[in-house]
Amino acid sequence: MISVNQLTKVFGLTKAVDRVSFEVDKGQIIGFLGPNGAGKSTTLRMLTSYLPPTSGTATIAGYDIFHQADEVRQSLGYLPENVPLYMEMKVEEYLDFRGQLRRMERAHRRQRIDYVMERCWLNSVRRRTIGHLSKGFRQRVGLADALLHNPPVLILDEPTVGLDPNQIRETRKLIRELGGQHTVMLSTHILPEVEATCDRVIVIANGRIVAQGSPQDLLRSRRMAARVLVECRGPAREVESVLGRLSGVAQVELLPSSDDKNYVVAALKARDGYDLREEAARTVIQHGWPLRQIMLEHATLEEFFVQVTAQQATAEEAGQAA
Amino acid sequence: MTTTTTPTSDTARPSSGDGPGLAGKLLRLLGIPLLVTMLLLVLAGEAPNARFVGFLATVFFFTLVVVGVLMLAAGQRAGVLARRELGSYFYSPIAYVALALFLMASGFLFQDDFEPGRPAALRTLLDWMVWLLVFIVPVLCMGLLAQEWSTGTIETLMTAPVRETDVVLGKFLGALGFFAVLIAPTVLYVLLLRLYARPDVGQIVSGYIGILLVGALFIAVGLFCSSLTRSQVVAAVSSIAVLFIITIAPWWASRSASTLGAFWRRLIDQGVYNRYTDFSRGVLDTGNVVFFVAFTAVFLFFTTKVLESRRWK
Repeated sequence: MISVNQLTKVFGLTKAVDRVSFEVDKGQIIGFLGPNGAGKSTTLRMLTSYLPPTSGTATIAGYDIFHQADEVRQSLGYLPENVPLYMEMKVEEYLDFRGQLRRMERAHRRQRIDYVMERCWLNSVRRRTIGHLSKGFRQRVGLADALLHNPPVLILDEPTVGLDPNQIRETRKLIRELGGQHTVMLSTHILPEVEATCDRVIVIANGRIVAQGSPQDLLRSRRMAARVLVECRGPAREVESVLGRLSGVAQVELLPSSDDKNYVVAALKARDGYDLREEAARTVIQHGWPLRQIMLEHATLEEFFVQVTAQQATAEEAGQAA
Repeated sequence: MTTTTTPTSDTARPSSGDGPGLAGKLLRLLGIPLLVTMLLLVLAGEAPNARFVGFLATVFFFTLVVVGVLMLAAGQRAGVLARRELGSYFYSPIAYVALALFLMASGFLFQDDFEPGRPAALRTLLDWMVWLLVFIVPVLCMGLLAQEWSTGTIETLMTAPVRETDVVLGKFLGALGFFAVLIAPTVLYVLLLRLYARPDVGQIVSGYIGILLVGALFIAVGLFCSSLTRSQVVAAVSSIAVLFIITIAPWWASRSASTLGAFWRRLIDQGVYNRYTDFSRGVLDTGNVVFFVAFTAVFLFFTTKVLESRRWK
């Protein structure tokens, strides 16, 4: 449904997007994950034919984004970042305007407007002015607009930013339901979001794809960046050396316990995504140190990106050396 | 994948059989004005001043025909955009302020035309109106595209299946529509004049045609300036500057034209105000009409290019 081949966008001297290639099958929900400024929005803008690529090609539903821009625009619904809307218009009036712009015939337009209003929980604000609505409602208006002409492809740029937890859950549920019927591509910088909604994830950093796979793959590689925190009462130095000698441990760091000076926290970094929890617990108990807490601490997104990017850099160096 | 004909989703396809056909639309568009015109013509036969009413009716009819044809020729999308643009004016306080100021100023100007002994031709009002428009039209046009840039709505707009020309024509026609709303109440002065004198209808109509052409050119300039910036203030100030240079400055210079060389004198004659006064004197010169229409088209063309230029960056 979406096919991207070596897409590149250069602004002045900076490469915002650098040779990005991927494929999305019909009905898939794909997450585009990356820190701010990674080139997510630029890529999406190229896919929507808003910006032309510097080089490379892409097709949406079989239409070339550059040469068949009109067909591309007809076959996709787009929710831009920050949801720009005409603030002075009323919700229904806006959707009607968008439908007319898409040349939907009157009866069909009415029917679709009713449908998307129902779908995006907008019925209560039908006749309200968009400028007076909360951020959450505006987001839904944008989503309703993207769905209006029932496009085969939906492109959503940060669809849950600025929503409260309830609205986030509802929006994610809606997106899940839309998958299957529509091919959905959404961008986000929130890791759990992709894990919750997407079939497949593409991680992008500095304009390049650094990882792709299922959310499970992502979870696995993310676990590799995780630490196990062991909090026990024992002699600090001995705890450090004993735990450091465990087979799967790459590195031990001692942290002070937050409330009790008798306790010590050892942060263990595992080698090769090895789950250290069982072994660490057994060892601590064998030594007779009272164990108060043991937990897996997930890497923050930044650490994860650093790790993934570093992995890619080493892989590239290895490739060049060979 | 070879795809040239059908989009994958049938609902995404624009509907060619949208409501009534072209003939139906033409009828709907022109039917009501036609009826009104016929009614006026019938009344004209009864009235003592048949020529006056008949003339008004004809002008009314032709204006509507021109607007209608423009809407159809511009394609539906520009029409949809124009309607939205016109509608959004009525939500904006700036438009009402401009409307009020314009009416107040034109009322003062009309006083001068309403003196006993003056020719009943509205020359003071129409001539000074051009000066007013130098300041009012930029304010009406400043948001047209600058606001789309600053709020980001240009992105939703340009990712809908519309072309740059649709957007520019739509905005232009929308603003022209509001301009008509702005000017329309001053037609009352003609009727008021009619109560006390025999106004020179030909001259007044020619003056209004001139005002419409000047308005169209000013709107095109305002739209162009608005396309260049995200800031509405910058858009307004720069288009006032441009309009000042093409309208008021040449008139100022023409007061001391005798001291200038032939080249400069010819250049000054191209000033908007100098060309406009032909209309208000009752001279409908095709050269002047072509001048306004051509420059309007040029500025609209530039605006389209500015919109397209985001593709070159």
